[in-house]
Amino acid sequence: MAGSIYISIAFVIGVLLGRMGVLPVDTLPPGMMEYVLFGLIFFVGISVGANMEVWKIIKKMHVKIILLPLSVIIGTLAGSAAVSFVLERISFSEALAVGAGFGYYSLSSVLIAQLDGEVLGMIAMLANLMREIFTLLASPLLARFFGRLAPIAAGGATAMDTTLPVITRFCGKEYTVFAIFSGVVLTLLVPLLIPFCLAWR
Amino acid sequence: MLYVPLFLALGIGAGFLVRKRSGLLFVADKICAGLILILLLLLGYTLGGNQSILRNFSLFGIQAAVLAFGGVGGSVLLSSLIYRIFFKEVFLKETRNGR
Repeated sequence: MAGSIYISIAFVIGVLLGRMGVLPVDTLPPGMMEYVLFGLIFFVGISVGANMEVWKIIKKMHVKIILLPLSVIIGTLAGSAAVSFVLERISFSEALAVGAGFGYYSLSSVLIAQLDGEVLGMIAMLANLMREIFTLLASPLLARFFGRLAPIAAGGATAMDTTLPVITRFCGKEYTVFAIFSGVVLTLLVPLLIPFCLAWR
Repeated sequence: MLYVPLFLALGIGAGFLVRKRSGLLFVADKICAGLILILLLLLGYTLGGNQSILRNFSLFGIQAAVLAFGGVGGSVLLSSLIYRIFFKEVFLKETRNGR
C-alpha cells in the first residue's frame, strides 16, 4: 500500500510540474521514454522469472488451477468490451487494452500512453487503480457473495503482491497459492496483451 | 513493439537465473519501483501541460470507472461460475458447514 502512495505522489508531482512547465521533457532525446519503458518491462520479467517456482504449483495442485487466471482474462476482457458500447469515445480495442491492465496500473498506463496516447494512458491508470482499491475494500463482500475466487479475480495481476494480504485474510490461507499463481500469470500477460489489443483495430 | 516480448523474455530468463539470490532480487525490485516512479512522473508531466486533458478530467474519471466496473464485474462473475462448477467439492463442504 505504501508503494501505491509513492506512485500517486510521483504522478501528482508530475502533473503539478507539468502545469508550471518547469521540467525540460521536450529536450529529452527522442525515444528515451521508450527505452525506460523497455527497462521496466525487463525488470517486470525478472520478478516473474524469480517466481518461476510457481509453475511447480500446477504439478502439485490440480490442472484446474489454470481455470482461475483464464476466467479472469476472459471475464475482464468480455466485461470491458461490453461496457465499451456504453462509452462513446472509447473504442472496442481501447476498452480491451485498458482491461488488459488487470489492475497493474503503473505498467499498463505507461505502456498505453506510449502506444496509444496520454489520454488513454491516464484512463488506464485510473481504471486499474480503481480496480486495485475496489479489491482492497470489497474483498470480504466478494468472498461472501461470489465465492472464494472472486477477490483473486478482482485483484487480477495485483493478486501476487498488493492485494495478496487482503485475499489471504478473507479467502483463507489455502487460497494464497491460487492468488500468487493467478497474479503471476496475469502480470506476465499485461505487457503482451496490451499491444495486441491496441493493434487489433 | 516486438521489443516488448523480447525484453520480457530476457527479464524472465535473468530472473530465473538469479531467483535464489534475494539480495539481487531486492535491488531489481527497487530499480523497478524507481523506473515506475520516473515514468509516472513524466506521464503526469505531459498530462499536466495539456489544458484540454485537465479540463476533461472528470469525463475521463467516469470513463475509467465504467471500464473498471466492466472488467471487475466480468471477471468476478466468471470466477464465481468456475468456483461453483469446478471447485464444487470445496464449495459444498463450506455450505454444509454453514459458512
